[in-house]
Amino acid sequence: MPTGSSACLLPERICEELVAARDAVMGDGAPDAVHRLRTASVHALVMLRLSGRRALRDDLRALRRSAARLRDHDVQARDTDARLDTGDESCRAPLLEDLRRSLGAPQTEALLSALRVLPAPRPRATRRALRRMRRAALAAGARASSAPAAGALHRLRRRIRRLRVAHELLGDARPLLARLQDDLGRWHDLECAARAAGGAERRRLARLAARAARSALTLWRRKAPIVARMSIREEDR
Amino acid sequence: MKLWIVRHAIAEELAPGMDDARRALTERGRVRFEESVRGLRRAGARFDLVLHSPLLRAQETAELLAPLCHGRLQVAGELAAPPGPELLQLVAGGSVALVGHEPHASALAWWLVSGSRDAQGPGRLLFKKGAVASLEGEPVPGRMVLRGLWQPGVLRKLAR
Repeated sequence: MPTGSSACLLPERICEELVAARDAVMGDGAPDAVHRLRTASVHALVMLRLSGRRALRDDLRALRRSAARLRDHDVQARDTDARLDTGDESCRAPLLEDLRRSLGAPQTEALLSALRVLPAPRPRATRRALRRMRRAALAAGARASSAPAAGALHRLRRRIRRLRVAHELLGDARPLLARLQDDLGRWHDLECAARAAGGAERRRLARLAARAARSALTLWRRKAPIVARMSIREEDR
Repeated sequence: MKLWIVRHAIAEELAPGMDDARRALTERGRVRFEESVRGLRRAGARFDLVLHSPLLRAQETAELLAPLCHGRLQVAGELAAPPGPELLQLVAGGSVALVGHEPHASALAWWLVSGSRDAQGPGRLLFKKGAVASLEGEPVPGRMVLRGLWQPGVLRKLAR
């Protein structure tokens, strides 16, 4: 395992990240805090996958989902250049209140206690999980390339994000995965914006989303062979 | 509804300086409980929800029950404490497995069946590590019927 990887993967470290994000949401509840909470829960989910553990994944998904509506709101507000400190605050406040309620529930505390007692993932389980994630990304890419429907693209985006985070937690960040994720993320943001808009604006955004999807898939087709050959240094030994 | 109360499988012994919450299942405990799960499958056990305590040995036992669960695995801090009304609020309909510890597992089973909190009384239930009790009825103290209490050896025999 590369140096530093075990430190990034330590359940205690990931738990601290989650606790800090939770405290920030309970404190000022700024958009950045909500984003950090979502990011920390993805880190924890990927750490569980790398450990080959099934328990706590559903709890983390529920935690992540509880912040989804507020995060979508924040992203939309940012993209449309709306000011969060004006009239928009009236829409945001109830969403933040909902999120704080679920974060304050005993279940969140139980989840954090359960994460704290996990041992560090074993290298063998980590290597196996990473190979599985890579295969899943390649399969999702093949499906999205042959039938580029929104569902298939969305699945590919999630598989690539998972693989990127796994490499990062292992101390082996891959810029290519970040680039692929950015491209698919651009498509996703436009797709969401198009769905929220109406009339001519909707058609314009849908055209842009279709163009972003084509561009993301072109990049994927070119780079998929590199993803297929990716491995952490430990795997090559 | 059906309620399955499960005591965690065989775990590491508590060594001096060791955190009790971090005790993992031993290899033997894991292998034996996997066999018990096959026995449970034969007995027709299927779960809509598996609730488990946050302690590592209960998490790992719940993971071994996952093949029998077509719903969620969910952590519940209430399972690491004596049973109370908060725990029963988490249980609603269908077939639910609760993975916890002694003496709380037997106290819960006895409370639901008899309505009495005196788990050390004459009706005390013996829960070996990896044992499973099956209850049916409304999840209210005194309103459930004990359908079976399988010790791990019996479950393993069922698997063969």
